[in-house]
Amino acid sequence: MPTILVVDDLAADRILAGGLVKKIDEMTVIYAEHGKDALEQIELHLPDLVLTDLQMPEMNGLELVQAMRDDFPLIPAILMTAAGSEGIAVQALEQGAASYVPKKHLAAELHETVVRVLASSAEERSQTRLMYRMTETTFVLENDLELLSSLVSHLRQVLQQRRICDESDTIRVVTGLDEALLNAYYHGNLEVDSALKAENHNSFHELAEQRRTELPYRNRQISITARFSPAEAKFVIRDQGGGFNPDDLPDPTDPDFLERPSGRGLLLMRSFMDEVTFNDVGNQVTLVKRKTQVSNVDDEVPA
Amino acid sequence: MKAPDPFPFETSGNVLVVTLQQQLADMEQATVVSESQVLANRFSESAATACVIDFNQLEYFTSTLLEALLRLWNAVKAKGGHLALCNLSPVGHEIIKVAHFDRLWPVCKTREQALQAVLSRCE
Repeated sequence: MPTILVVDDLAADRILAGGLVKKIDEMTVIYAEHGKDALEQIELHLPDLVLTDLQMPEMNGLELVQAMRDDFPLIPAILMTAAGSEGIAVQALEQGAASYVPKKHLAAELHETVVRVLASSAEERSQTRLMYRMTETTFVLENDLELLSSLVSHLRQVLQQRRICDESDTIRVVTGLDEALLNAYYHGNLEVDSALKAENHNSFHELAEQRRTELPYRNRQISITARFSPAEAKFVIRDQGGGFNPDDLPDPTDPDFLERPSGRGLLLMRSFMDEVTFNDVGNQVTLVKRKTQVSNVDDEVPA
Repeated sequence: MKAPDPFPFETSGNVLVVTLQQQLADMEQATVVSESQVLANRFSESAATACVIDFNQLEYFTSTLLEALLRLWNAVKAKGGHLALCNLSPVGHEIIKVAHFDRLWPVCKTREQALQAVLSRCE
């Protein structure tokens, strides 16, 4: 039975909207008086949908939509718009609101809009439930930067769905992953030396492009295994190059090396992940990010 | 279709102001590298003596962009000029700090502050 949160500072409007929602088959309705109140109710009850007014004290509908996008991205929001608030409604839609219904048309349009938005978010929730049950996944990719970029986007989505960490930490993890994959691509599989950058930046990328089509480099692959548990996300990235010794790299923050064109990838990986370890050969790196407190929501696996 | 320019710029007096594009994260590494060299060349050939990089709240970026910044810095240094960064996202700011680039250049909240930072150093 879906739960709908109705948010409006005017009691009469709350009751009206709530009454219309209750007429839709098997809906449970809860209420909040403004955006801050709504966020508390969302944390407590995890409603399936939020129906919100725009103009409210404490936190208005636009601010609520923005907060929901960051903390509760899978819960859709429908705006109830009064005359003259169309501009803010457009902003809210751009910020991620699912739809809007003018207040003067609530009786005629609310039912259909709620049913439609719930149906489309149901698929997304189903995917989330599935992702939450994934404990391990492996990708084996050829030397293709576009594929690596797509993989990073995919893993970012999984991290968000699994709620391993908050949005800022997710971006940090994505940065670390990006660097690790670029290392595996350029220095691992294609064995292009960073020293080339000091001579000529274009030479570095030209050599990489050339080796992508030559043996033995062109057949090399990068494997990425991602393992998820309630406590952490672990990524094992392995290339098929000869490896290296990470201890041989100079410290890029040393004033003598600060303006060198290369050498910061490993630094960023180590700064943004909780653990970075290489195998003895140096062609496999394990990156670990431990779960941080995302919100006060119960950490149970979604049913 | 030509790829969009990752480093569009404008001039403000003798300052070249570069606004990084949101599509930077999806761009080919080689394109970012080659276009940064084009930008550095343009700076060298222009009358500009200072540069401001507006990060446009770019969510994050890789070490390739850090290298691109150094390439531009070399061109600015060759003229005895100054460079400042502005409008970084929280993680972007962190990346700059981790790399210790905040020791090389002022990191400002707004473009106006960055312009003021380079102009005051040029005086």
